[in-house]
Amino acid sequence: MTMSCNQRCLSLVLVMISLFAAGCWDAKDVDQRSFVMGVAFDLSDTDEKIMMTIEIPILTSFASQSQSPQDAKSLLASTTGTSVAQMAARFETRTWRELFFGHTQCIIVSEDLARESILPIIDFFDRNPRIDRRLTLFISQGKADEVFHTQDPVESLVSIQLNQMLNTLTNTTRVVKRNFQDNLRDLESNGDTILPRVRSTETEVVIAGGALVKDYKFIAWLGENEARAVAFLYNSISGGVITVNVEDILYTFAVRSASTDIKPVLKDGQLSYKIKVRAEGDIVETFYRGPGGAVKFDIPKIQDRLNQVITDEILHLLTKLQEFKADPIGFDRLVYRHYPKFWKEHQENWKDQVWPKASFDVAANFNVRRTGILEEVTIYQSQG
Amino acid sequence: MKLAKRIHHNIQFFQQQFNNSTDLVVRQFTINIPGIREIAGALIFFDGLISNQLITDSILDPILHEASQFQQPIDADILTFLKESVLTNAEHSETNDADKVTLAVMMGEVALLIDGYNTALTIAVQGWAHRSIQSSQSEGVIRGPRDSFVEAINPNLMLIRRRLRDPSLVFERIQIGNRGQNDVVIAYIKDIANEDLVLEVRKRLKKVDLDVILDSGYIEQLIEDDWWSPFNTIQDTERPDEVVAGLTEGRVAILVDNSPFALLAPTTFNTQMMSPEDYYVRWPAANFVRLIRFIASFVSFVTPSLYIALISFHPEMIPTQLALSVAASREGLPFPSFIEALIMELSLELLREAGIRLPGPIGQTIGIVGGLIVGEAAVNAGIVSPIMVIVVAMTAIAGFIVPTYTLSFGLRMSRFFLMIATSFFGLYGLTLGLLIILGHLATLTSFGVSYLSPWAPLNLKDLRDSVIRFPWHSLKQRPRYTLADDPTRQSQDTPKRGQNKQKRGKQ
Repeated sequence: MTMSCNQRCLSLVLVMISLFAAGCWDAKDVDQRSFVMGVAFDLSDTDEKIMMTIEIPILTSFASQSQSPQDAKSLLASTTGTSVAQMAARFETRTWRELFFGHTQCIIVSEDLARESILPIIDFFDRNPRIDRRLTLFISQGKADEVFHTQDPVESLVSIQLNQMLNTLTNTTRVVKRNFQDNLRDLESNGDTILPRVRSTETEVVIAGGALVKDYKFIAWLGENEARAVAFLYNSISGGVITVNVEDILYTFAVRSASTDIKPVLKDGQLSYKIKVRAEGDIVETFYRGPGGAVKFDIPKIQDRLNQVITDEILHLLTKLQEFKADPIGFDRLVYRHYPKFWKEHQENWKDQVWPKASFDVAANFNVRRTGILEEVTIYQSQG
Repeated sequence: MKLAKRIHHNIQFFQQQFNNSTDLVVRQFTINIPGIREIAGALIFFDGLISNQLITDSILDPILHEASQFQQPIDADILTFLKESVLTNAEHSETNDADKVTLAVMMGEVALLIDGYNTALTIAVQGWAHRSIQSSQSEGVIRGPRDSFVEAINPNLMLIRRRLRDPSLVFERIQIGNRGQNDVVIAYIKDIANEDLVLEVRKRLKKVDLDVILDSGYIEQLIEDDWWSPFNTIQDTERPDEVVAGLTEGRVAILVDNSPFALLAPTTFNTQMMSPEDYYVRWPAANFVRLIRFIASFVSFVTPSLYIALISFHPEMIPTQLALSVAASREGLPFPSFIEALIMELSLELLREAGIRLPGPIGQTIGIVGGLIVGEAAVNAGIVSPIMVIVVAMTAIAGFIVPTYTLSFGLRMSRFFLMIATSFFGLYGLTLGLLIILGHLATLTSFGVSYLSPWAPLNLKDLRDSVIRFPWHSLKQRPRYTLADDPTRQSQDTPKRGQNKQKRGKQ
């Protein structure tokens, strides 16, 4: 296949025309974009329902040359509207730079807005292909935009701080660790999920606990103590400490690895779930407050106690979820996978009828691997 | 054109032939052999092409003194007598073809004319000044031989012959250039090089039709397979060890008089990514360097385009903290990233080209210092971002790692093509551009050998000497791409690990 010179030239011209006619349409340099690092949504007093607040970094303070940490690092801007896209467009009257959500770290929805529904808010972000889905969707206790007003002298931007905090959690399970992608998966499956909670004071911002969402509506808080059971059920334990009391000695157990296996069992039309928790870890501390004398670790007892504590916590959470008729963990998907026929019959009334009646068989198996370099504890105490 | 019998006709002929050029010397003399007669003779040569010492010692002195002291009258013809018994130099030939004599004189030989004979003796007494052998400028190594070719062809052949004492090593000398009549030597090892390859080289060289061959680059461009391509399909080198290595792999070398660069064919992309040093250092080190070289070549190839793509099209792909500082550093810059990259990349090429022209050691210094100052000043003046300076520095440093100067030209030019493609379509354009270049490379051949061999078409055996180099013990076969006649280069078994270790101490 050889082309004559004319054909060559013609094809070259065609290629050039198509390039120049179509090219560059989505080119926009970084400095022409406003990086929206965080977005907060609140109920607004006006007719237009929603108030959107965005946190935009002041770029000059991020340049390597600037050595003035006192300068404000970010700029907050708010507008009201009825939909997210509409509000995002309205910011064009305040900045010539295009709002860019590709690096958005967190989206915060205030609890009163979330009670109405979070669906219209997440839809905009769900559709945007540039969103980094590892961002976090928070429900705030109190007003959402106030979170951005906290000033941590060490951190640069509240949004980055929040996302970093949640993603680097390893030693505590007091907050529900779910990112936007996880939440979307839950929500697309049955409209229920658990979102991390954020609350703020003037000086600090705290993430702790979670918010139970049912049918895209926020319905109840989950406390810090319930967050651990959530983590076990989501099989997303990456660490954390559990303190148990065995014969008046407090043992603190640090989880090194844990996994949860959930299996539905259908027997005589009665649905139950077998939940197996397996965990391994070390004793990192013993806190002694009884009478003196040498105490040897009774590992099996400690393990039993740990099993008991976690089983109770999980059962407590499951009961609570059943009371709310909410299924954020995705127990329905398990049934759909294992018993598709049963699922087809009860698909319609799953949340109202079937789920609340399910029973659970929780078995925890904790394994204490190491106790540190001390094998026993001896406390010397004068007998007077 | 035949020579005449009378010497003055011949002298007149040659004076006309060379248009009485001032450097033409006609040295007339008389041979006086007692008892015979006096015979007129003449030497014709160009001043400066011959060695005066040699002419005196091996031609004039014997003829004028020793021949006249020869007592016996001889009836054999005087020319044969001179040839066989008088002249003391090593190399001469007899001809009656005036054109041959003309050519020989132009090549620095001396024509000896004797009255009464329509033949002439051409005697090789060449001697002219040439550069002495120095170390390679463009292909330096730390470990390995330092010598490199010079402009004169005979020392170059010597450098090859000295490394390869093989009777099968053949030098075929032909003259190319309608006016230049320049020596071109085809070198190959007869029982290794593929016969068709040698025939093809010969055939293509015969077709070369130019006035004068000033450098092997002329030959390269006239005989290469695809002269449209920005990539060269014939390798040039100034290292004799590289040539010898090529010859033993079954390649053919072409050396051109007055050019310190020999050509090697066939050539693939792979062969040009190797430095001779890769074979001299131990294989783990060689592999380390080769991996770095391949990666760095790719880095220098795509970094500017990647910068454009990420900055202008896909800022979400930059890590957040970096994105912020990049955006901050680009704050207030007047040009879009493509123009910015173009400015900096062009000024890099500018500095590089200027560095070649600048005299000697200042060149490099000014190049580097100029680069730094220009880069720094450009950043301070707010024309380019500091990140761009890093990108350019990466391109430059990584670009110099390509061991073949000629190949790096192709890569440098394609880099701009990639930048343009990226400026239209972002990463998508970059991918398209890379595919177009890859497709183009895949269509190239060098004397029938695929340019991307051994990767496309895949040749597993040859992969042993591509991105990684296997230890010498496992490189028992010559590369396959040359279709060498004798594929084996080591027939001994590989020693087992540790076998070469000698046990010492107690017996």
